[in-house]
Amino acid sequence: MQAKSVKKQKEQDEILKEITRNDYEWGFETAVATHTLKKGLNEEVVREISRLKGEPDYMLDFRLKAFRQWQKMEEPTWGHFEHAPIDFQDIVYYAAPEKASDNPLDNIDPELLETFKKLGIELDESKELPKVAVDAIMDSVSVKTMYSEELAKQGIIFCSISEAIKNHPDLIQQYLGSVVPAGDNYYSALNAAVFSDGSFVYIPKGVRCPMELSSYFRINAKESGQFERTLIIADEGAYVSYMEGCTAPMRDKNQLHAAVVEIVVLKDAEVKYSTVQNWYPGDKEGRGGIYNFVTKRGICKGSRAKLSWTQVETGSAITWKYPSIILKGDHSTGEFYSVAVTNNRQQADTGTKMIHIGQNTSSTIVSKGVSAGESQNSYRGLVKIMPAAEGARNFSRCDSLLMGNRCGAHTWPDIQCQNRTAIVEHEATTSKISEEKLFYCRQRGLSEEDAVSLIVNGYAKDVLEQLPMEFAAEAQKLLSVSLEGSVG
Amino acid sequence: MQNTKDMLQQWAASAKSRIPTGRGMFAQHISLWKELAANDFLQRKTPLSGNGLPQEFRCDIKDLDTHRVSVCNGFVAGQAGRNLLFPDKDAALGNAPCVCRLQDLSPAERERLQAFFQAEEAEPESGKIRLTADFAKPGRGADTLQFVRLNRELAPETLVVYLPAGCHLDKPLQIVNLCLGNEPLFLQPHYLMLLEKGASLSLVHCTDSHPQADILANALTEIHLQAEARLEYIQMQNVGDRCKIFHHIQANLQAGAHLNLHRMTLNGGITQNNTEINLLEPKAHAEVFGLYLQDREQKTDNQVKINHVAPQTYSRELFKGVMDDSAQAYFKGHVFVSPQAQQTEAYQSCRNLLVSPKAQAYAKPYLEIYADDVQCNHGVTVGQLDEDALFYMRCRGISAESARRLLMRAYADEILKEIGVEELRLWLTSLVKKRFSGQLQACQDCILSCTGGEC
Repeated sequence: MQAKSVKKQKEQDEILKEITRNDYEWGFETAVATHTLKKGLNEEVVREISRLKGEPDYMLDFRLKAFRQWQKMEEPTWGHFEHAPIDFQDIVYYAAPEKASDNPLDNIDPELLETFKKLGIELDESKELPKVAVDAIMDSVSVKTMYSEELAKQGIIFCSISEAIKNHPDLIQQYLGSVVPAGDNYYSALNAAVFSDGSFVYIPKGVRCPMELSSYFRINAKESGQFERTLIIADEGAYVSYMEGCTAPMRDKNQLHAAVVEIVVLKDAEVKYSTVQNWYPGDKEGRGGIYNFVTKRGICKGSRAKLSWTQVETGSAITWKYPSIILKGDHSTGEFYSVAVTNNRQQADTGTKMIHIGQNTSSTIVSKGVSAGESQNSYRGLVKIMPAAEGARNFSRCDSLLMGNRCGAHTWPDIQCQNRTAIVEHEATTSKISEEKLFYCRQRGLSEEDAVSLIVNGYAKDVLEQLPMEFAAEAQKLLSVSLEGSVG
Repeated sequence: MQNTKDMLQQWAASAKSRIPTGRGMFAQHISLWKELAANDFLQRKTPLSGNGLPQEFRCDIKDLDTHRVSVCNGFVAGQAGRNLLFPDKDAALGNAPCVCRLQDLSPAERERLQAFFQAEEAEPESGKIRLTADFAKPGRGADTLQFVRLNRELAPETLVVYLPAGCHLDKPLQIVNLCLGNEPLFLQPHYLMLLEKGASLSLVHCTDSHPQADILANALTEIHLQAEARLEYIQMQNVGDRCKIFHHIQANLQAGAHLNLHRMTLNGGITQNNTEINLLEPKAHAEVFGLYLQDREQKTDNQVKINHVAPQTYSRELFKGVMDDSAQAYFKGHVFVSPQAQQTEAYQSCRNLLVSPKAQAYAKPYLEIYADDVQCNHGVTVGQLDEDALFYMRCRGISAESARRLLMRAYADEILKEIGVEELRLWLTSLVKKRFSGQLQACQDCILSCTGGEC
């Protein structure tokens, strides 16, 4: 018996070792001329960024106010992860590929086109088969936004946020910082001070966006941080599905990514936001990788508004992210679907916040965590029913799967109910892949690795189903790559 | 009597003590430290001796036949130097079961007993940077540690419950803990319980007060169960609305030991039931049940931390509450499974019924797991009575009010049925029934034998 279990342990170790060998295939670097600011952060840097972007005065004020708030704040320490202290003066806050400022495709450095091609993104509109409009962002600037003209015919605004600041100041002034105020938390304040680019989407009243919109984030420059800011506004009765993807080169040094995403959903509108997060996770010793400290929040402002977050988190050395929804309009709906996979030394602390304010609001939370190697994976969530939220309804389910006995899986939910008509349910389980399921698959001739991949994909199916077609395939592939062959 | 201010100042001056701030993510709505910082705390007095306090209390639980020990304002009633179970015998940790004051034991015996409870206390983590290795240690919050220290250092007397190996008491042991006083008091009752190998005990621990009493108590029960020992501990709280009772129960379980803990909160202004259970050896088994019935402005906070440190350990938590008027209920359950604790089973459940528009419920069911071969789950619900069930009963001619009461009783029964002391279970069931039907008056079932009119 003893010998058998020792042997089995060895086999498992073998397999676990194998997964850790999987390469990060997006880890290449692009040699492109980059204009960077000096390392460090002070008021002058904030002013310089604003100057480089040619921003109006109100933006500079916004940034400076945020910067002063940030200086007074302290880094949050409640997350269930560890990292060496971040030296905020050792980061480059602005890095832009040269030439990229001009819009027409001919002016884009062919190296950049090649880079995005390698990442599976075709920036040439004539070649694109399934119609997905992409806003490609490299380091601090938006390289190219596709189909802008075509979308503009329907009144849809899809451009980089820098352009929006220049061309649509009324919308920016009304909504920027309205969902995530600059002083919301340490990293949102930092972002508000130094954000360099990001996407802006406005869907006018009653318009259903004819194609998927997407932004693709790529960190390329060395020692730079990426601070992008996305703002999506869906006016009454509008609909949009938005996707976000990201990768970074392999580097020994940790890089900081502190983004803010704000979504405003007005009456009867619907927004679907999907993320496949695949930042460089560091090597198996935990060297390098991206610190992904992101604030994402949406508000369902009008009645019957609907917002849905779907995320597949496989990358980053540390993920600290809680896409949340404020359900203010009556009968509004919020959804959160998440798969978080951690391996090697990765650490993820992710979840959501659902704040019920309006009557008959409902929210659903489905979170699936998978931890392998020596990683730590936490779900942290808040469900808050305010006293006025008559008839509110929440259902939460968060499951964790453990592979190997050196990893951790944790659940930190917080339920606050202040209205008696509300119904709140929370369930969670933690377990390993059941022996029976594995045995069943093995009997039918599947290799152990295929069996695990099959079971994990089945486990995550509730979430993967929510992804748009183009993303679902990528996410499934990512899951198998991350976990191939790991048996707990 | 001593001023609480002087007392705390002395305590804070000793190097070990550091009053935690409890800020941030783990901030607590109900905390002893908040009470200690409140202005009215300085008005409180701490009794320095038990002289003049009543020595014996009657218990009006019908047919409940127990060995009874009384504790009043933290002082143990009964003759000094004696074993309170058998008043003709001296207090000693020998072959016979013994209930006595800690002070009455010989120094050697005292040392032997205290050795069980003085495991090395790790300093709670602080500062900014933590290592992953630190996460996987079954630490305890800074708050809890200070609770324990404060009580240990300042408790005027300690009640010891000792059962030698293989011993079974013929009937349950009952501790009646009474809080009395015409002026605001700060009390610190302390209990030490040691059950040696294979011993078993049913313990009923009632805390009562004068309905108008204004008491702040920081109570501590420390339990050590040796291998195969079994303890059923039913802790009941029925104190006045001005009482604030913080009761920390801390238990260490050795191989195959079995703990059944019931925390019944029937009444009390602010009640915090803090529970920490360490499952130190394989096959240790712990079940924690809680029932809280709150109305008016009452607040209750149940905190349970279960540390699974050894393989094949089992824990189960079930907490249920009914909140009426402006009552508030907090629950924080934390199951910790260390990397060694393979084949752990842990279940955690908290259900809340809100029956009035202003009632509130908060829950934090935490799972922290570092072992892979485990079965853990937790569930929380907040809601109302089942509309379908109500409709069904109304269809059959039952009035809305009776149907509601019936469902509420059925709801509470899930907890009550787990109580092993038959007479107590029946009494509690009828008490809960009366409570739900609004028949319960302040004077009825009050433990004081006053003739009425005073309270």
